[in-house]
Amino acid sequence: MIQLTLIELFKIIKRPRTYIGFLAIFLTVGAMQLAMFYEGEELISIAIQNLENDFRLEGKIINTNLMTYILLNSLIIHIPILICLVTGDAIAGEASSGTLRLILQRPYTRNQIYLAKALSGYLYTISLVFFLALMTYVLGYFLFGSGDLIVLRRGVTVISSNDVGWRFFFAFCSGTLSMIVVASLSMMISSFVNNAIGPIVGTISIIIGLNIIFTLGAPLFKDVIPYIFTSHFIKWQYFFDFEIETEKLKLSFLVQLGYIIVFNAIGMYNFNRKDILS
Amino acid sequence: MENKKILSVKNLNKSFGEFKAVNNMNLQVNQGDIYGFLGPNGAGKSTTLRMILGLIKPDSGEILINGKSNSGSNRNFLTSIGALIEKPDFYKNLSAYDNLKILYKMSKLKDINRISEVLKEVDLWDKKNQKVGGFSQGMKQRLGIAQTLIHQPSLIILDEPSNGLDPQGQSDMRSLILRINQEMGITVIISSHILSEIEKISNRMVVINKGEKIVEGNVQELMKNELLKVSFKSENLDSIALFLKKQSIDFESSNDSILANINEENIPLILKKMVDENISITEMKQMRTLEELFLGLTK
Repeated sequence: MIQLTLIELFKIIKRPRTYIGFLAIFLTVGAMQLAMFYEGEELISIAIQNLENDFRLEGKIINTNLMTYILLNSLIIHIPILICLVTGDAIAGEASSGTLRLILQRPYTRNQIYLAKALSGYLYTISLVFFLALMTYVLGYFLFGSGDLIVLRRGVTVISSNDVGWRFFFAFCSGTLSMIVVASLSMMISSFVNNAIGPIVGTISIIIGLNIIFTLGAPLFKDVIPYIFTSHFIKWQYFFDFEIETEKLKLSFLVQLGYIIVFNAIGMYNFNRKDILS
Repeated sequence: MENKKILSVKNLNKSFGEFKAVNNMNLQVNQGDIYGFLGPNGAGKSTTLRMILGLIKPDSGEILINGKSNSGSNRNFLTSIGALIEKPDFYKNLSAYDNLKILYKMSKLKDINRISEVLKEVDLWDKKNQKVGGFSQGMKQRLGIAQTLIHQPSLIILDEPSNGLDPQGQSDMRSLILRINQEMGITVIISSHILSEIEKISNRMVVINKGEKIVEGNVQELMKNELLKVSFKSENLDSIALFLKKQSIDFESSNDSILANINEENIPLILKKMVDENISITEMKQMRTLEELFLGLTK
């Protein structure tokens, strides 16, 4: 299994499209940080205009912590697209290029091959989120330095710079889990189709569709929204509350874990039954 | 002594919806065979070969490789098979060496030198670091053969291996297949629409059509038992026509030749009689080919 996963990682590393994600993060994070560096004061003053009527804000509001917090929101749409480019290609891409029948002629079960592909996809996902963290925090620190974090969510929360490190760590872990759900979904779709575009478009369509439902908050879907996986993509924000709602975070963890298991189970079931005709 | 069966296919069936792709197929390949697999497009050749490899699940039937069933979760039967199905496929962004390295690792092999050995066997050692995307069709075919050989299988399955190759490439491929069979002792199943190729290199063959087996057996025997078309050219075609009529042999006349249906075994005797009767012949040509046999059987 380890050998198979290493082979899949080797294939990912050698594929040019793997680096699109890293390049996109480098460019978007870099562009946003530079924009904030030059015009951030003006933008932030608009955002906190109301606050300044009631509070006196001192110190460096735009700092690496705020930048990292803002850029973590890219986990909702942008990062899932980049993840799908690789994980959606895992089975469907090999089916369309004909190499799937090549690897299925080796003495491994289809379950082993699917799991190896899933694990290597998860490692890619983790590395992408880690790169996002590195880019936002390190570049932010270089440009803006450190400082207290002001969070505008359910009121105003000011977190001391000494207290944000562990919060960001868990926030990135939570984000990574959400992105693994995305990777599992695109892998599952990948097992159904024979071209790499299908899983990418399919996954993004599902995420956008569910995000619309979540954002609208229509009463019709009120009871199901907590169990829709996209509603957990922003649960990392809970780590920036003063009183962290551990029960809600536990539920979020379990729901997302459930999705990972279900997506993989469906994907493996289908992959096992699939006739390789391409 | 009975030949050792390396592959047995028993009562194999596969449908795609209403379409019956393979219908009650039975085959037997013996160790050391070059086994020709003939049939028109859509006859069920690729489906049968894919079922042997476990790429397609049969609806019913049994496939035994070296006496062991290929169904179930144990995939170890694949260690004794190498296959090139339809066209060779690779990771085009990788070099020939890296492509084989992936298969080397997936085959759980221990000696890394096997990659260089097999690249040398197919004359691609000089190109080992070139990306496969830039390979010619012939080089791709040879690398495809290398993929099938890397784990030293006892049976290789080649589906249309000469597809897209020029005459020189086809000849090289034929030589390579013969070398694989004769020098390495590997049993070969070869499906091809280039029927003369099967005729040239196979010792046994099966003809299938519409998912069903039409005939299976020794290539020479299948050829021998059928009537051959023999073309005669002469300055006096009338004397040949008269002679054939006397011998009760069916024939067709054209302006410059006569085409007669003669059993292959009787050809020497017929010729002797013609010489005895002083019938002059400027040219005699055996027209019967496997293609005619194939077309006749799959009508």
